[in-house]
Amino acid sequence: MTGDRQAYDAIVIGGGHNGLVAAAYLGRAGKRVLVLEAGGIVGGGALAAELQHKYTLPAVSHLMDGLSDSVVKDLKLARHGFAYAASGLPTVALDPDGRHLVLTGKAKDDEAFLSARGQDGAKWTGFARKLENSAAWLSPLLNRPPLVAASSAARGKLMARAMFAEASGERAREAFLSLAAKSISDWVHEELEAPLLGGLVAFDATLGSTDAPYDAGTAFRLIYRHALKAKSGVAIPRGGMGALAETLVALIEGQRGEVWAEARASRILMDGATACGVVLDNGIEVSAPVVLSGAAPRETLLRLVGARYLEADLADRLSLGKAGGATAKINLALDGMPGFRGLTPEQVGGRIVIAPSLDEVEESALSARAGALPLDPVMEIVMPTCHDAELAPSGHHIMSILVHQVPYEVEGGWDARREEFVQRAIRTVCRYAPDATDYILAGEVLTPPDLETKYGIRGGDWHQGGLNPFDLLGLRPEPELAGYATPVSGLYLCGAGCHPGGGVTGLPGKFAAETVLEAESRGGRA
Amino acid sequence: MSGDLPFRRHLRMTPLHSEVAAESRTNDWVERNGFTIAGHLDTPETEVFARYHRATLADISPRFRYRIAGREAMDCLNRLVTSDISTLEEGHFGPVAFCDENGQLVGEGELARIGATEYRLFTEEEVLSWLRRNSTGFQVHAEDVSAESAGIELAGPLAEAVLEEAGFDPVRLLQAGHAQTRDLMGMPVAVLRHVGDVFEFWPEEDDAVPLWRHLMQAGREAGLQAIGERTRNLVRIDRGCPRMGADYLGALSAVSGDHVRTPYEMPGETDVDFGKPVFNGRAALRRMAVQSAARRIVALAVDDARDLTFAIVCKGEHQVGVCTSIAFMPETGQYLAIATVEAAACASGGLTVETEIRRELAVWREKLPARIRPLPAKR
Ligand SMILES: Cc1cc2nc3c(=O)[nH]c(=O)nc-3n(C[C@H](O)[C@H](O)[C@H](O)COP(=O)(O)OP(=O)(O)OC[C@H]3O[C@@H](n4cnc5c(N)ncnc54)[C@H](O)[C@@H]3O)c2cc1C
Repeated sequence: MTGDRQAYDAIVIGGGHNGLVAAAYLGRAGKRVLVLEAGGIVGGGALAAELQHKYTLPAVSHLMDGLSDSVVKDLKLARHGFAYAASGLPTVALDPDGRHLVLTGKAKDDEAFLSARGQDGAKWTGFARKLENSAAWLSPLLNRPPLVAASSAARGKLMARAMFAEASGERAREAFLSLAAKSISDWVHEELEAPLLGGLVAFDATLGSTDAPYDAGTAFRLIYRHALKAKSGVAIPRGGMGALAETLVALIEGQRGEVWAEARASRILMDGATACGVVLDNGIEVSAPVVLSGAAPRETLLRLVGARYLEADLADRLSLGKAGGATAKINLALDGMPGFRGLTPEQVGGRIVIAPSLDEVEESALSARAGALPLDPVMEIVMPTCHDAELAPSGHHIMSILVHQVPYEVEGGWDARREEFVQRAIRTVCRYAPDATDYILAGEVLTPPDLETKYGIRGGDWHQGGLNPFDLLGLRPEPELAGYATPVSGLYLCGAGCHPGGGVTGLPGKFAAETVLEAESRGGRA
Repeated sequence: MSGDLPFRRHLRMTPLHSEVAAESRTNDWVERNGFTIAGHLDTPETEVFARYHRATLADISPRFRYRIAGREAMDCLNRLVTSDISTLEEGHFGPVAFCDENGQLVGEGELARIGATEYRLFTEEEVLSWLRRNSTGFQVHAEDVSAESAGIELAGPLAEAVLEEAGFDPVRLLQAGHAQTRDLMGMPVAVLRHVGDVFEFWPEEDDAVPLWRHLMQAGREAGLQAIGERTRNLVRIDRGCPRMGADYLGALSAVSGDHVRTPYEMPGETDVDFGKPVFNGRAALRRMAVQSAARRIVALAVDDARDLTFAIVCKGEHQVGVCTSIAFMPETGQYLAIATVEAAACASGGLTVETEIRRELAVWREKLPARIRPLPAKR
């Protein structure tokens, strides 16, 4: 079928949730859209994988806490069948001595719970309030497209304006600025004493990156995560993590759009300096006046477009960026519910974090950096079957383990170390749920390189690029790309590499689509 | 002492150093790109007279030469420079300028097309790292070949006569804008001819001295005079050509944004071809093209032959610019300068320079009228 060009109004490369969201917004505006997904299943980092045709695993990500309320509303996702099986899940920090902490996010309850256990009750409230205030200041900035400056001089002014003229007030801004450059360890050491709280906060502040708690900027990451939290809190979609992507595909197809799986873009077609279509790796060419890419910015511009179509400064900066993922997934099928010592069934259905202290998170981070496997891995465990029994045969369960601070390149190579890694992780789980191994029927492990080959998540990086204050807003992923448009006319970026970053939010996809539609209404190209 | 410290500066000698030194009556040396080269070899008047009325020979080895070769050399260079070089034919060369993403000049020089896929870039400043960064994504290789050759410049109205005497007829017959490799006395020598009877010879390092001697010998009749950098600098100022590093700074080395320049601030027209879909600085230059530049680099003349110094350019009471290169022209008894001046002040005349004038032990200040000189046609 080589040379068979089909015309669409827009082509979206990458069927991650952001690409799909972008496609759905464009479809809603009457555009005929084609989505090209390299993998066999759409969803990117937010998808479900079948194990033995019986278990629906949250293959990569396993919780939704930031899916934008505006996306849900604009696309009427609920009407199209998208729903949470559970939301507002508590966070359970496991304690080696059984004095677990359960946090609901409701200040009063949490303070009472912690005080009753002599664990920083009032201090935690103070900490949480500061976090809340800073996040409140940042949140509006993350929930709208960034201000984009045309030149570096204008950029300085815009940044100053963004920093200092926010409506949400001076106090919040001061709180934010005083924390933004800090390490999470500084912040924790200033305000908290309970090791378990320190571990939890340090875990959350570094999750998804290779950062260690002592690294500057990690306090900001915690604020950032908080600022992107949706109203529903920590949630699990009904039907598994793939439900969002599945809903979106149905929506797009209902809008006359098409979604092709196993369709890897190998090159973006250029007409002069303008993108005009895509060549797939099987030689098929598809054309459209607008191409959006949900693949990482660097992949899109250096590999799919080519450095020659960019000014050298930009090509150079993109080539320097290093993917920084340090997360692995272990998904287990269980034929029963393991007994977590000291947890109620309701708590087992929460977000369970094993990070006994800040120093243990630090240690894992440092060993990951050195290419070593952590001795005692820190992790987040989710049992989606507690809320959605359909995901597994009756009475069976799924345990999704997200192991944090796992090296991309491990000493001795992953082939030799994979088994050992799984053993260590399961040993850690068994410290809290001693009978867990008795129930394991099957499972899969995804190391950071596996995530890359299997799900196209380069380097296992959550955010398709860095995430510190200088990688955000009008600077993300690079100043000249921050407005979703690229110097290549007709080409837009729509993935987590763009503002406001990674996580299952749908915002980069939404803002990218809005940019395309706006450019069109201004008389630019459709 | 055990060896040199790594950061110790080494002044290097060009392959022609001993030949040039033999001509020196002044012992006046300057540094250029790490090389020791002659400032003046004779009195300024003698050198300038020879340059404008006879013929001169100079050692120009410190210029940087880069070899850029590969299947996509043309594509790579076209993305690098502001002009369209796809029309540059083999055996030709021309001026090029290249910018960063903000449209600020990173470098300038001459680009010669040696073959279908091979070019030479001649620059005053080091730009290898920039060339390398520009090579990403192209089938091309850029390397510094400065050490492989030496440079000799033959210039002046009698330059052709010298070439005839030297038996270098094919070189004499070369047209301006051509760059060719010639066999001269059995030596392969790259030759470039500029407008205004300026010939550049780039022999291999070992061939430099024999070629220099041969030319000196052949030029005896015509009054060929070896000259130093200061006279070449005067000629440059006379032609109104700003030099990076002196009259402005390259965008990659400048610390202050005030010291860099865009093509639109340069004298004459720098060729910026928006017909090319992609080149470095295109977007920024596009925005600039529709505004008028706030300042300009211009050539100034101050008609005064007294012993004086100056730098500040004024209009009325206000400073409107700065002279960055200044030289006294004995031929006309005036001072010539390259200056950066506010564009608004350039329009209607009335410029002055604030001078300090010396007579023996007395020093006083005077404002002297300065005028903007029309530029001779570009190289
Ligand atoms: C192990 C792990 C656990 C995570 N857990 C959570 C979590 O619990 N909660 C949360 O909110 N976030 C989580 N994240 C982060 C989240 O998954 C990502 O930030 C999010 O999925 C990014 O979505 P996206 O659509 O921008 O990009 P992606 O999901 O990466 O989608 C990009 C898509 O583009 C496709 N693609 C790439 N190149 C091409 C090509 N050339 N042609 C065609 N298709 C191409 C890829 O196959 C992929 O499907 C996790 C990330 C990881 C790695």
